[in-house]
Amino acid sequence: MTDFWYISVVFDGRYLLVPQNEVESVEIIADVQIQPEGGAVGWFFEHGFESKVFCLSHDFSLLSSIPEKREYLILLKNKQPVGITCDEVEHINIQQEHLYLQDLPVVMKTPQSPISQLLIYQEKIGCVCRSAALIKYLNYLTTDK
Amino acid sequence: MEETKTSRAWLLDFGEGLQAAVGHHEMWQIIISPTLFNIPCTPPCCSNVLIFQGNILPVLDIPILLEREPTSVTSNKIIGIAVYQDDPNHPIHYGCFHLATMPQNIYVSDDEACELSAQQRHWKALALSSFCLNDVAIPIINLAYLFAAEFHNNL
Repeated sequence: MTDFWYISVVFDGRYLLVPQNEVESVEIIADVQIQPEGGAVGWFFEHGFESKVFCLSHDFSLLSSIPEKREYLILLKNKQPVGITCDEVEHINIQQEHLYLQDLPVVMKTPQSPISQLLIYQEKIGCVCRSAALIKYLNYLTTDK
Repeated sequence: MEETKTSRAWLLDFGEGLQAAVGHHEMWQIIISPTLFNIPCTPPCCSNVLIFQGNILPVLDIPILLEREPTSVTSNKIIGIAVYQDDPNHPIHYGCFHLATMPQNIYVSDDEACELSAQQRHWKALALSSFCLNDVAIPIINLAYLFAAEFHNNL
């Protein structure tokens, strides 16, 4: 049965959606221990996790510090969850909201891109990413850093 | 006497001296100064999308695609929406490109067929055929291939 629930996060005006069942939890930024290292801005040590936390900018590049507007982080499911900070978080059901996922056009694909689909949300374009693809992308960004 | 076939087409100006033609039925609409949305982690030749009738359409920058040195910043003023099918039994698709000027309605006849020049080899992979217009060879481009993964993977 198709799961229509997604976690929608916003950072720097960019909408990113991840399937809800691929998100471990939503946490507050105050629980992040600031410790920039290897591309990460810090660590999240709650709930038995030791999770690296990253900040992405509007163009999905890595930020080296946490912008003031970041209030939350989502932990992406993984052997060791990985955190991505955001300004806002929302829990949405795309079917109930009449939102339609469209595959990323083939001409827009790049080997490293974590984006699999797009959707029109709040009069903007949301980027839909699978958790595994996002984690792979973060690993790609932080290789040799 | 053999009849010369004449077909209606659109002459497209992509800027940077790049012109091509498509079939008359292949241009769906022209949009002036639309809102474009930038998508991260995309190739430079196609980093924006347009919302059109509830669909999210890619917008190609042909000069960047064909690796032409830009002499000016690509304007968002004129966007052409093309319609194509990769197979007659498959659904139609829409794709967009930046245009430098409004498309021109032209008529192309079989006896205007000519070869692309050596300086136009950047069009070779995309051209179905070409014709001579005002002493310039104009490629008739394969839109389905232009927007296909196969073409972009081979770049």
